[in-house]
Amino acid sequence: MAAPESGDGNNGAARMVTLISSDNTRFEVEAAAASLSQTLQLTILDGGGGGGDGIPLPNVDSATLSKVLEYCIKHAPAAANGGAPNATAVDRAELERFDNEFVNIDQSVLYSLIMAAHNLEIEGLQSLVAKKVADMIKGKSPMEIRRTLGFPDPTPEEQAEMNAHMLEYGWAYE
Amino acid sequence: MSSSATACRRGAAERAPPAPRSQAFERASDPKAALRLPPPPVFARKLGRAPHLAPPNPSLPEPLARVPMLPAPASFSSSLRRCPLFGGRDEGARNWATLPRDAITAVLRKLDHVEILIGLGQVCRSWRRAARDYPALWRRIDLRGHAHLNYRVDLCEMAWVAIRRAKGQCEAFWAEHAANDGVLQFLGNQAPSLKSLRLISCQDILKFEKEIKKFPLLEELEISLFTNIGGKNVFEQVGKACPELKHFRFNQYCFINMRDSKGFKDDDALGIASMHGLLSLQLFGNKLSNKGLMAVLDNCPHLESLDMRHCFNIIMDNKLRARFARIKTLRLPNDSTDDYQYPVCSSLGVLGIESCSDDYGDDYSDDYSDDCSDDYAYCWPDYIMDSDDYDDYCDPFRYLDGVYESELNVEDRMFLKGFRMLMKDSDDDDY
Repeated sequence: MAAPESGDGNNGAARMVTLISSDNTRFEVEAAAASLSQTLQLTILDGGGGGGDGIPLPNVDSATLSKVLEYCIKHAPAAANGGAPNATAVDRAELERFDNEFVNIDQSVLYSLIMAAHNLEIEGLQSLVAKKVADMIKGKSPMEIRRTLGFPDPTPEEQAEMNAHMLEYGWAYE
Repeated sequence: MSSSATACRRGAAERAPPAPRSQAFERASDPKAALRLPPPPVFARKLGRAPHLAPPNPSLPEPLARVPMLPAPASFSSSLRRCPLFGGRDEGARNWATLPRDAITAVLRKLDHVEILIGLGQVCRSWRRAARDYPALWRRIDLRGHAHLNYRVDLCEMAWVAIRRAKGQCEAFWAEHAANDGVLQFLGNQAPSLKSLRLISCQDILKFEKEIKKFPLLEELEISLFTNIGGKNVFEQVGKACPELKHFRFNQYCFINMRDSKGFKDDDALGIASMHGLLSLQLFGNKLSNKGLMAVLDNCPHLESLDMRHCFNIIMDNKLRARFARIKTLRLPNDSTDDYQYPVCSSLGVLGIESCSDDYGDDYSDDYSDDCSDDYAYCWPDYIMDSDDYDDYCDPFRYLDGVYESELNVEDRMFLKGFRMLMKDSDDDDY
């Protein structure tokens, strides 16, 4: 990790790859940024996604992909440096500010993001969104959590199951 | 990643089916071959819902959607927002209950165990299963920080559930108000390889010396704040049962100095002296004296960290200072408590409720009262520590004027019964 892929870094800085969302929108983005995705990394290392062709992502729509790439572009330099060692306190504070603002979004977008982070295997993004979701539901009862995240109302069967579990464990929060 | 590592990865890629760039376009037209890695199950499910994922504006001519959009990376999100494709989104495709297991796990990992047990883990079947069937999540059980729930939910019951879910893999068990003898016994049976045990304000543990024998691999032990564990015999058992023990914390909620405790001051310390492998020891507010401390220093030759803040019976002298030379991290009785992990409250002796006249005269009263943090204070009882009132307070079988219940006449017993029910009711009102 001490020598942050000098050879690849040179290629990556100049190299762009094209990603195609489920609704056929094409995004051109630096290979280094797209490589934050474990799923894409190998394809890109293999020379895919460059030139005229693109990498289709049939399970990510364009709105989500733009958001995902916004994250990747911001985090790519830090990831290339192997994270913290070279980063100054200012850089880290800036990233933190970006992250806080980045997840300050509606829960439906959060859902799309966590799914995309899962499918594209972007660990940092998954962790960031998971933290946000966790903060949203902290200290809430099961029903409050369902309301916060926009679950459909529980069916009578589900409701009975929830009640049974609460009784079984000997506690009820509500 | 070093360049050699990159070369390795490339090597790995070459061993995989070759993918020359010239073929990339054909591959791109075949969704199965588009990505190296096979799509996860959820991928397929989402593909099955393709109509939901179609552009929200179906009248948009297909060629327009295909127009390459290559905005500058830094600005593309703002330019994309203007794109008509970004209008409404299909809500039907979104259902948190169908979140893939590892995404649920990512959220679970950001919550503490009590929050999982009372909140997220009850939300729906799939989340409940994710929380239940994932022993790694319960490997280090932490049920601290929810003392306020103590009267609303059964924290000990939660401990049982958590231990069960760890499926024998539990390595650490940290509880605040969430353990009693039963929990400890269950833990002993379920987690023989436990390495860390922290019991904070677990007052219902009365058979500690018996249960501790089940944790021979224990490396870290903490018993803090309100507890019934302590004394030479108990700690000698710990020393015998846990030869691997390296870190021990035994913190009182505050330093209490009682006149009649003179003979027992070093009771804890003499037991701790049997934990020969200790590297670190924290004794907050313990009543040990120089004698007990010397016993610990003599018998724990590897000790390199010692915290004895608020142990006001220790008197610094040259003999002691010489012994401290080998201790790397040392906190003396009246050092700052700013970084102490629990609320700090004034020492009872310092408050003048009980000023002892032995060993240490009155020279500490001014020095130490400044130390006491104002941030938090437990409520002070308005009884005198070694008075009869205090005995009554301590002994649940004595009421009124120090009379045992069995000694009361029928009328008084009835009065007592009614009084208890009244107390119980008002307790219930509070919670």
